[in-house]
Amino acid sequence: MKSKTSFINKGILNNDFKRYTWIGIVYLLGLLVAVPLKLAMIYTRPEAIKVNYNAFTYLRVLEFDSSPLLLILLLTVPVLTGILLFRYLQYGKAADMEHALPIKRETLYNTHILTGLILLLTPVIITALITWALVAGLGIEFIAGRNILVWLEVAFLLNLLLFLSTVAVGMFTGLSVLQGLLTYILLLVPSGLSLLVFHNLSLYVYGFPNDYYSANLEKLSPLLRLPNSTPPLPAGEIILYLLLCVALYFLGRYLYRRRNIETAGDAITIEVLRPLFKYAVTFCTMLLLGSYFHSAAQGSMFWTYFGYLLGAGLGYFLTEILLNKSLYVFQWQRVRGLGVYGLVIIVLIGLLYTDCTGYEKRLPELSQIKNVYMDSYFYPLIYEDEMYAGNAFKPSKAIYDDHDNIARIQALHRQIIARRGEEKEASSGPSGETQRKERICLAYELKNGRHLYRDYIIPTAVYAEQLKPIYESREYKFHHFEIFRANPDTIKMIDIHSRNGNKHVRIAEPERIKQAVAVLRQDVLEQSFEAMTVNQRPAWADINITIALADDAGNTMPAVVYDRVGIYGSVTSERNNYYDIGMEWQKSYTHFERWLQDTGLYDQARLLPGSDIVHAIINYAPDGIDEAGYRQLMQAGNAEEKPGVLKITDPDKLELCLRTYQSGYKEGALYTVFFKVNTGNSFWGLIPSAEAPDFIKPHFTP
Amino acid sequence: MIEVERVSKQFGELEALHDVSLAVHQGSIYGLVGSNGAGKTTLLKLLAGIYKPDTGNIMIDAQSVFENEAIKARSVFIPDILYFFHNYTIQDTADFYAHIYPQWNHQRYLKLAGVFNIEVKRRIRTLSKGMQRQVAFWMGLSLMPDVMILDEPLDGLDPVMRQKVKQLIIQDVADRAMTVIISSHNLRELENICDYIGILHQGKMLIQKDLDDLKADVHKIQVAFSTETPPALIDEMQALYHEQRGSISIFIVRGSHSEIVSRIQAYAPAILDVLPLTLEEIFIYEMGDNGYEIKNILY
Repeated sequence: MKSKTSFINKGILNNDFKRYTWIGIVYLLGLLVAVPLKLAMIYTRPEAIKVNYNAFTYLRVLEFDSSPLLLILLLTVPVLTGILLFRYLQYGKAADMEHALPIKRETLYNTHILTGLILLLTPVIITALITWALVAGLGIEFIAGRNILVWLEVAFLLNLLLFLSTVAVGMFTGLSVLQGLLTYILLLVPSGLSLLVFHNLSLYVYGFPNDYYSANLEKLSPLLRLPNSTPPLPAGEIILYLLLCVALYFLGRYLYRRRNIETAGDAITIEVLRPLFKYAVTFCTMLLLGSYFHSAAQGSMFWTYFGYLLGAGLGYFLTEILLNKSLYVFQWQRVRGLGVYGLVIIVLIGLLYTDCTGYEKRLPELSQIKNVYMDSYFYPLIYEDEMYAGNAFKPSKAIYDDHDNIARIQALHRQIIARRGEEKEASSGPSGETQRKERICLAYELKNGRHLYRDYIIPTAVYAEQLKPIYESREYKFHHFEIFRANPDTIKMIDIHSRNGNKHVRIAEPERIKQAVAVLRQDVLEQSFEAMTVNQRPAWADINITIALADDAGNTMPAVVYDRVGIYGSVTSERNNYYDIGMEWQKSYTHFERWLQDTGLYDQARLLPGSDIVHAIINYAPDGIDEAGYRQLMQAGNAEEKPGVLKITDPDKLELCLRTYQSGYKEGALYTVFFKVNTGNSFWGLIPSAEAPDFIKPHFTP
Repeated sequence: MIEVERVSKQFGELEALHDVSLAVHQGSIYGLVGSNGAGKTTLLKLLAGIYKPDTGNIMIDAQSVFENEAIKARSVFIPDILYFFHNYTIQDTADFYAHIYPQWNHQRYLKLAGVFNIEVKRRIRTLSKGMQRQVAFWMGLSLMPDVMILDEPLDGLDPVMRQKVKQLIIQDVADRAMTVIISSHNLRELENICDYIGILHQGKMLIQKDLDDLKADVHKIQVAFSTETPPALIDEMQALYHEQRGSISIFIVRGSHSEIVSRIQAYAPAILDVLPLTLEEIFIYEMGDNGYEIKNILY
């Protein structure tokens, strides 16, 4: 007679295989169809089609999001296996039968887990082996052994993690459906809950950089992270996932030991977890509906609170119904539980409103700042450099090292903090104002190694005094205009396309390219804050600078590496050997204008009054122009020369109008102006009353 | 030897068992009687090591049962609601138990095939409820258990099979000193098989008795005198129960048979009969004031 505890029980193991081997077979067949068979299908396509194939076509098959079949198999089979193998725990009769057997729970647990691992991992290994044999046999040189190993590694981790999570979840729930559901939810919770918490925090905390914190959240959830793990997982992460698997194994074992068999059929089988589950669901649904109503009602706090109330109530009572398996849950005692929860939340929101931690007021000391990032988004900070492996032009990280600039940015920040009361009020009020706003994303790196992130939206005009020196600084221009980073030697050509017409100039001679770049740089450096922001006038033309990423022999200069699954270049056509920088020929770019005149390209680069612009029709709008007025104007068109309008045909006057007009909507008295182009096209703008040339006003004064 | 010491078990708000104790000696049969919801199944699942008691001890041969592989390998539990693996035949099920229970006796299994007479290739799910129960006994007896825990085991069996199964159990008790605990909501069903009876009501043990003692000890006596029943006799008898039907007196009396008879003979009755008592009657009279309560339980 056996009296020692054995790790597994052979009888149970045999029985498991007898009952569940079909899972492994179905899984294997599915995987074979999704991977090696697909490779074979690609390989046997007609040569005429295959000419255009490259490594990517083949390597793509080894990616988990490449085929729905592969993804569905990997995401569902491990969970189903976990549910089926431990189904006996959730089904009273079976639970009694299995636990009456002379086998310890731990042995049962280990045995079923071993069955699961064998059923799941064997098909994965066989698939990898067959794929490897196929690749070797057919001589598909694009796929290396390493590629298959990476596939195997991720498939292993996904299977382990999903299966062990399902098992662990199964120990504290007594319903198979809930087991599956909770497994997916719990694997998504790290991402989802953080997303919700950050979004909701940003509603209360002025300057909270929601975008920065929310950016890489999908990495927190293995369910989102693993199938999209491009590039391959770093070793640290693999170890982390393996440790997580081990932790899940022990967690499940511990919970099994604590589980009462009679709880089969209960939503939550471990007594102490019931309130936790209840309030966690309440909290999540509260945040979820709050966020939903916040965005659906365009930021209205009334509707946000309504969403909180609805979400908390729904979550609370639905879990009560689930936990008690009864609809009769609306009792005073339970309502009180929700009431206490509500009070805690009110206190929490109150604390956030009062900024008890001083988060909103925090401003780094000037002497403490090593450098500071400032831009209108966090994008370049968030995304890893690897994402641009095949791209010569990574977005510039607008990090300011210059001491003067750091001081200016800190002064701007100080002003924002000082005015936070006003800005908060303005942001919660009705939106749709026409005034220009700047988004200021800040990331300080402090000398003590810490970071401080903030995100603000501020009205440009109010902060003009603080913004102007920053925007006009050299550093700002270098960060924001790619032309400073383009090496003139690699520029293939510069194209200038006039706005509103089809005039075009191409500069291709290296010497002229160098000259053009030099004057454009000078213009950008001299451009004023006002010209960049509040007084923007439509550009003369769009400038496209084409940079060669490959030399003339066709060798791609920035190497595109094919050695790992996930990293692949998009160099599939000739065009992708180039990188385009787009910029505008602003009306303030006088150096460039003069250079064009000197080189004789000027007339071809922009629309000229007289020869290109036939006439302009000016009308007076004493109350300014809003969106509705704009639409009306667009519909009426300029074809109608209404009585009372001013028609201009004189080239000098036309040129003056062209240099003055602005776009967009404006308040206050202004003139609308239509330009008629000789091609039959027209374009439209407006001239504020104060800036109008002298010849306009008299016409409209009675 | 089964010992249950002051066991309580709570399911959420509901207390299924409260401070229950009992003992079953080796080689004897204990009948556990109670209405639906009395806690019989809970007590048996505790004995089978499925549930863990909140307080108290469940011991078989002086060892705690819960998570005890050695003890569980020697006992078998046949629940009131049977469970077999999906799509399994009788043979599949036998193979499974043969791998799990070290005492599995294949000879016995083959021999019992003759008793139950069901084709071993048949899927158990396709069998009738009564036949499934026969399969459960077939498997259970083939395991050669030292302890059998049976929850309402005779439900759904036809009278012939009922008798056969009882016979098989009694035989094992006699031959191998197997210990049996058997539950039923019907006291009469257990009448001629049990050595002990315990009555469970609302999670509490109302009364437990050794049937041999009981039957030897309590007597139903019918006497008639040519004249009035002598009052001195009524006083002397100290009956558990006394009823006068015309000239006939009925006494339920405790004591030794011969002594009681000789005592009545002294009053020279016209008729003296000692009538058999049903188990039900014994319990009702034994309980005295609680008798009415028990009448409702035992129907």
